[in-house]
Amino acid sequence: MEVRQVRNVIRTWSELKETKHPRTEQGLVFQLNTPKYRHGAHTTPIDIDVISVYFGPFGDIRRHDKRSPWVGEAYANINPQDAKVYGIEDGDYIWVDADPEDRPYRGWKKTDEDYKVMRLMTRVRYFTGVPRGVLIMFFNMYQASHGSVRAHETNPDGLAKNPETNYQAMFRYGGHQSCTRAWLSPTLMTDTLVRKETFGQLIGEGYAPDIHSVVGAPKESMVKITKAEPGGIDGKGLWRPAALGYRPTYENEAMKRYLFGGYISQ
Amino acid sequence: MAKMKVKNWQLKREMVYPYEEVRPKRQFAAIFDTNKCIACQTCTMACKHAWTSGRGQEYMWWNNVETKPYGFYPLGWDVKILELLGSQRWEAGKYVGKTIFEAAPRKEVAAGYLPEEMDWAHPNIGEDEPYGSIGRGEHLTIPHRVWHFYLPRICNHCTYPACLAACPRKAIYKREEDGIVLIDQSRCRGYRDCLRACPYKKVLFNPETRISEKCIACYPLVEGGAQTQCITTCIGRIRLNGWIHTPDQSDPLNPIDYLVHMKKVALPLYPQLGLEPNIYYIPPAHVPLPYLRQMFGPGVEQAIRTYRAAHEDPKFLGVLTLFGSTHQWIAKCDVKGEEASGYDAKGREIIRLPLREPVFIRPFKDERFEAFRHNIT
Repeated sequence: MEVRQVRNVIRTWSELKETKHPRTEQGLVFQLNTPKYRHGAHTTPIDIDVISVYFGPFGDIRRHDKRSPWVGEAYANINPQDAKVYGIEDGDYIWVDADPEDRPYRGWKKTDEDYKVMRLMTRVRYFTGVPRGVLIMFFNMYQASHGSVRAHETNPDGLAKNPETNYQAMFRYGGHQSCTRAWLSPTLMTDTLVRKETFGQLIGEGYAPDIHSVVGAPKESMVKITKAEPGGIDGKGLWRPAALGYRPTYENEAMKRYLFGGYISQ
Repeated sequence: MAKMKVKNWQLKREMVYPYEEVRPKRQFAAIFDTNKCIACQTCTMACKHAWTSGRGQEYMWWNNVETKPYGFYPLGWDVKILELLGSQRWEAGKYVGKTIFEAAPRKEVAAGYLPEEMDWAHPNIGEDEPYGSIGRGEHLTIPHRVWHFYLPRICNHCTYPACLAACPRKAIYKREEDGIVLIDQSRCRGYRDCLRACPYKKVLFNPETRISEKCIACYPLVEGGAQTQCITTCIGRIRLNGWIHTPDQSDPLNPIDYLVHMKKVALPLYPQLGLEPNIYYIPPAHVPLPYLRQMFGPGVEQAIRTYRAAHEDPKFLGVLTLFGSTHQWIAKCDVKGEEASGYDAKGREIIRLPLREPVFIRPFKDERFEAFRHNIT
């Protein structure tokens, strides 16, 4: 298990808002959030293929694009204006990298086999509702493993499913944990800390989960993004719905007219 | 191609259709309240597991819920049919533009197009995506400047189905007893003229069996006096099944007639296409009117105004409360005092509900357990 210790420094808001993340110059300008998704309680969006197809816009039960790890796949919601700054189109694959000090793991090298397996690659989806500087990747998908990556790269149809264990990944490479970390809450008071019990209304003392140990989800991280592959089938051109003009910022003339009710003449 | 004159009450005029006007004894209908839909897709999954989880049905979703405006199933379905029709004009509640039958190219039954296979691939494209983006310091207004809503869809079991009209083998029929539209699976040869003609794209092709399929309105349930799967599994209770009549036959005790003809709060989907669809929508109160007029016709403004005043009308409130209250088909309903009741075809009361949740206030300290109550967890 990797461990990293941080300082807990307290600042006023007026001081804090003048500070910058130390990795900003290295391009870590996006806040990656990994919230829960409405179609899944725990692992339901990924255990069941028909729900997995509904897990976002890239679900395709027939997997026309052989790069898809499964019938549904991970994606990051991005503000279109941010994407365009980086030359990233709706539906493209991107790399997402966090603090190189310890992500995706301490001591990584570009030539490591582990690095190939654990560097996060994901689809990107234009979403005007996302604020600038934020990436939103919904939670609870099975991440890539050595076996799933090997399968993804050797299967003729690209399915990211380990044939020995039947483990089915929804990422081609990496996963949220390539970027996010859990942080232990700083507290010096453990055995004598008076606090509410984890469940119910009783008050107790001492160690309790969610107070002294790892917080579950969602997690977040500062990241940078780089275009990896075009979104069109098997890496050629634009993702089809964008190419056809039905996506935000790519609207064709009919779509533009439709959006403001322009087919009804007054 | 025969061109008969038929009456379409949603358009307030006559129009052409290849067959005579023959209305069923009773017409299957439903009302969906878009103000309550949260796109949980329970209805979608219920229908999928019940009817379309077999081989060849992988792309089929007889029920789907799409976010508007960037969601579609299949891709761009409504943009394309609106574009084919061109400008559509209403005058004082009467549709004076062309229906898809009137705009049909020579030798064809209806203006239409055949979607490509990939158009069906991503059923949940556009989920939650709003039109526009929010600037700094913005606040909410009604209607929302940056908006989206959810549109649940099934086959509309139209009075004038384009699918039925287009089939050269007459393999599609509309049942006399309940107006449900079905494809005779032994007669269909998979020409897909129906897919081409249906503007809502609710006929789907099975490449394994090489014949077409569509929503069957869960007719075994309907025959047994129950509402459909998608309607009863809706956890938001946004849907209600019932029989609809023409305006002149409207029965104020029938919940569907009451909401569609009397309160005029439930509207058909793209009525200008001319099929007289029988799934009716309470329009979303927060969405700009021009888009809604395009989708539901000129009655939207009044519908939203009426809906927002529901709390002032106990009968209206009572009927809305009956949505999702029972799996049984409600033929008639009424409101007595603070309670709404639903009755079956034989007049037996099948459900009774209070208009408001009863409120109980309990003491802060429970003497029996010597514990204090909190209002959390």
